[in-house]
Amino acid sequence: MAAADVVISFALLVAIYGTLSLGLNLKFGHTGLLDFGHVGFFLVGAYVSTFFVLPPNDPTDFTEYIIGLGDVPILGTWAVGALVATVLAGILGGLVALPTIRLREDYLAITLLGISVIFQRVIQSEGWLANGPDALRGYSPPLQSLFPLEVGTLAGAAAFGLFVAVVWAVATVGLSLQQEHESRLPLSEIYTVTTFGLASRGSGLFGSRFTVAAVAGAIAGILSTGFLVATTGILLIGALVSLYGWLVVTVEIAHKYSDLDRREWAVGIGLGTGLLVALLPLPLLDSLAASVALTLGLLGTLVFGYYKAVMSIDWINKAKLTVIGVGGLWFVSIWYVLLPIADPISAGSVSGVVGTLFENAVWALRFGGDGIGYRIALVGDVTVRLDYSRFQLALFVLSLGVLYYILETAVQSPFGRVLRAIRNDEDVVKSLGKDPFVYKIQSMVIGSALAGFAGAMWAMYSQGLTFRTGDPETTFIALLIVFIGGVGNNKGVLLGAGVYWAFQQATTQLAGYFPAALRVNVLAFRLVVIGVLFLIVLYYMPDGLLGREEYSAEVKTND
Amino acid sequence: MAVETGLTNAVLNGIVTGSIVALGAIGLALVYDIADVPNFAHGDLLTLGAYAALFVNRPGTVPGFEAFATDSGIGTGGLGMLFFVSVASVLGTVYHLGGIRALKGEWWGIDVPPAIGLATHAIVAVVVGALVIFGAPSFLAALLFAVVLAGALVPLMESYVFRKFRAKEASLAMMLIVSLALAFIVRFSIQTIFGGEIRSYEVDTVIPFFGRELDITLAKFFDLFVANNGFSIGIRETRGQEADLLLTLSYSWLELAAIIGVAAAVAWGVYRWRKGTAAVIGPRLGAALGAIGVFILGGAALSSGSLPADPWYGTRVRSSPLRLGIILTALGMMALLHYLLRATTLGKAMRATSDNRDLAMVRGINTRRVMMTVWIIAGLFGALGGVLLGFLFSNLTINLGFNLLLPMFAGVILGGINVYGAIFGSYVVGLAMEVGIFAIPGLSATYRIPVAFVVLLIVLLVKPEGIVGGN
Repeated sequence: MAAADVVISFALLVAIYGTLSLGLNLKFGHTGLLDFGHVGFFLVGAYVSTFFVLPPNDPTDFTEYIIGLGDVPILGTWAVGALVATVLAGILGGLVALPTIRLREDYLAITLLGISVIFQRVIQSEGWLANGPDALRGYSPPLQSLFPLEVGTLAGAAAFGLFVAVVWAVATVGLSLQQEHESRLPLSEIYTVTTFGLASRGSGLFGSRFTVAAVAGAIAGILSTGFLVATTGILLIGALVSLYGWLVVTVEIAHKYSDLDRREWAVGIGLGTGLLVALLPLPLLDSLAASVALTLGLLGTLVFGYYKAVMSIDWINKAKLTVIGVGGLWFVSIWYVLLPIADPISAGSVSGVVGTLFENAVWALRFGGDGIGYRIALVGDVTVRLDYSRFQLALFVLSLGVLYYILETAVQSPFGRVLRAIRNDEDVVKSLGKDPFVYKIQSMVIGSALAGFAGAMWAMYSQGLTFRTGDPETTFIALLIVFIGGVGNNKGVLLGAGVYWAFQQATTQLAGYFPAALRVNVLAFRLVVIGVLFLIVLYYMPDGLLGREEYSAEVKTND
Repeated sequence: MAVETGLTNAVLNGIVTGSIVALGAIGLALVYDIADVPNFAHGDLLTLGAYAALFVNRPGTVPGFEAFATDSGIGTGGLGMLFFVSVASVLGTVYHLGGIRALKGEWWGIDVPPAIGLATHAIVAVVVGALVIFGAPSFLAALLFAVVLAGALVPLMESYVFRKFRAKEASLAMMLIVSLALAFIVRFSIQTIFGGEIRSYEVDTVIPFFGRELDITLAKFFDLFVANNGFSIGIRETRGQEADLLLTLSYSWLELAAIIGVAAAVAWGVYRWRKGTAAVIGPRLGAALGAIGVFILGGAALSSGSLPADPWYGTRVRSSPLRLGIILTALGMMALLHYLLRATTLGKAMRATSDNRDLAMVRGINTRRVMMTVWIIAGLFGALGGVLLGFLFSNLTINLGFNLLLPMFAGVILGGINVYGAIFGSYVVGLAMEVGIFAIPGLSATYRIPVAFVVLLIVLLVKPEGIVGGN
């Protein structure tokens, strides 16, 4: 699997957990409702959505479930399933909240945890409902029947067009933020080109940058659909989209760290390199005990050195998070660019090196397997295609984007202000004539609906559900994500999901170096580390990486 | 004559479950009440205790420790380590109560020369260590080891985590989240060491009992009959297919009435005698003890007779000496706790702190020590409950304690977050779990915890401050 494919599967999980945590953030971050049973609605959403796409229950096979609407036209689709799952989870959230929301916060947390455990137990023990303690399988993710894509057919081209549209829109939003800053690159000109001239016509026509980006994405998607119906130039479009993505990411990083000194860069790169060196014994040494001891020793030294430096050197203390960011980026770059070509280099194969670099550079396409063949200078013969996970990512990012936009509008509206006022002081809200009860219920409904939608996404992603989907650990992780990014900060939640899953992916890859018998222990140890990190976050930066977002409202006066 | 199990059986099971819940809930309630931490890590403390016992009981199955295990038990090196850990745990527990000065006997509440204090603590520590290594690998030695280890480890949560967050004036919600993170750390630390396999204790379940052999895990049937000539109990043992009749207790209506009458009289007398005292045995406890004493004495004295041929009503209670032992152990521990709270300086300080921490501090009570005591008790009781739970379920899983967390919380909240309320609430929850499963048809055993929870939910909705009343 190319490094780009690992990043794609990482992004899928970020999208799912981002949605889940956005829901918890609305409840806890914005309204102050500590819902320890958030996962319950995730579980309900996951199971309800699958009931819409499962074929009717066949009493003769081993799986048993109450209803399968997969054969019903229109009703039996993922779109309807996800919609019903979302609405149902929201209604359930409201029903659960009606009696419990008046409780003290600790009682509320325990009660909601208990309700989520009840949901889980029902799934576990009622065999007729959803196959009881065994996994519920037998459905396929949305539109998977289109794959492998037939380029030249309208369906195939349109699927690719959707992917292009989503990537284009997201990248355009990023670029529109960046082109306002000073840069050596002609960013505003590039922005004009990538938005097909829409941006320069003033804000009157399309309003916010989000609308512009959405329209530009749609245009890009339609154009590439048309192009692919006519030709087979999938690689051209893939390369173009990838390049656009790289441009935005590079500009973003360059701007974020533009005010760093050389010494801060040096510390960051030193940290990243140190992490790499500390992990090297795992793949290189034969003796497990020696490599684990060495790695833990080196990691300990690194963490201790960092701690000492932060404590004693003033300028490092000021940039303590920034240098970790730089170190992480450096580490990821080495992992993405250098590590994949280590093997071809040692084999002395130039085409292997160039080919691997090329594959990871054109991240928008999957290389190898069935696909459209090309012959490229220095690389040789390659086949490329749009694989299902990239398409799924486009679907997920699209829905996450829409939800995020709606949510952000909601929390910045008067409604969101009332929620935050409830979090800060309920009595003030009462004295202003608003009933906190109503707003809390609404917050629970929307937050639970988001969890239900995330559950539907999880069902599409995992292709098999068990009652373990509703483990209380998931709530814990969502809470952690909210705290990493910043309580009450929606952007921070997405960042938190990214940080959490980056850690997860990295450690999952490390676990591969351990013998299978020890894998349970290694994965458990990873959760210990996560718990300790959570405590550190709670203690040293309870407002998270991005801090609590400041919302301000303009007061219109009549003069 | 075959009789079916019924409601009485469910009630007895409920008392057993309630006892285990109560052992956990006592610590949870103390910590909740006095340290103001709704401790989500408490369930995992039970797991910690249950797994710690494996070091003594099944050293060969503990990764990293199996090098010290031999065929017959533990080698000299392993015994040395266990001895050292036990001694260090006892001294560490005392150290939590106020450092070196506590080791010198300051926490006793009476003036003692430092040498006597030090010597006493050292002797106790060595005795505990000796009991552990000479008892190893027996179950009781393992139990002792787990309990003292938890007593030393659990307070570390207070001193290294909760105290720091309290100093930052963390909100209750923050404390909840912190305890959830700690629960994660404790549970998965255990799994890091022990892996994912299911474990079990190795217990010699046959003990000598009045010159006979008694298998404590083997189920016994207690057949209860009501007939025209009185009330009788037949105790049968299940060994193989047939159920041997072990013992028959039979009472005519007259005998029964006499026992009840005498018990009532004794209870009333004791109540009058103890009324107005604030001693360890107050009027209600005294009355209950008196009545129970009469029942036992009278029941033993008048037990002659045989089982009726055609009873009006018969029901069977299925239980084992282990289950009855768990009830007795829980009651014993509660008695100890009651003594500690009512008769010692430390206990009075705890009750004062529970009532009003600021006032207690003003009156010169060392609230920090009270706080540590609470965590130590939480550790001791939690570990005991965990080991008993592991023995009762006959296998240990990583979720052993967490599964009990909700019933414990239910018990604590039902009781209005104080120790005595929590004990009462735990028995309510235990009874609700078992009787609920029995009484509602079609409800499988996985629904035990939901049933407990529904009870809590109903109580919270009707009376949000708990049954007993709250603070």
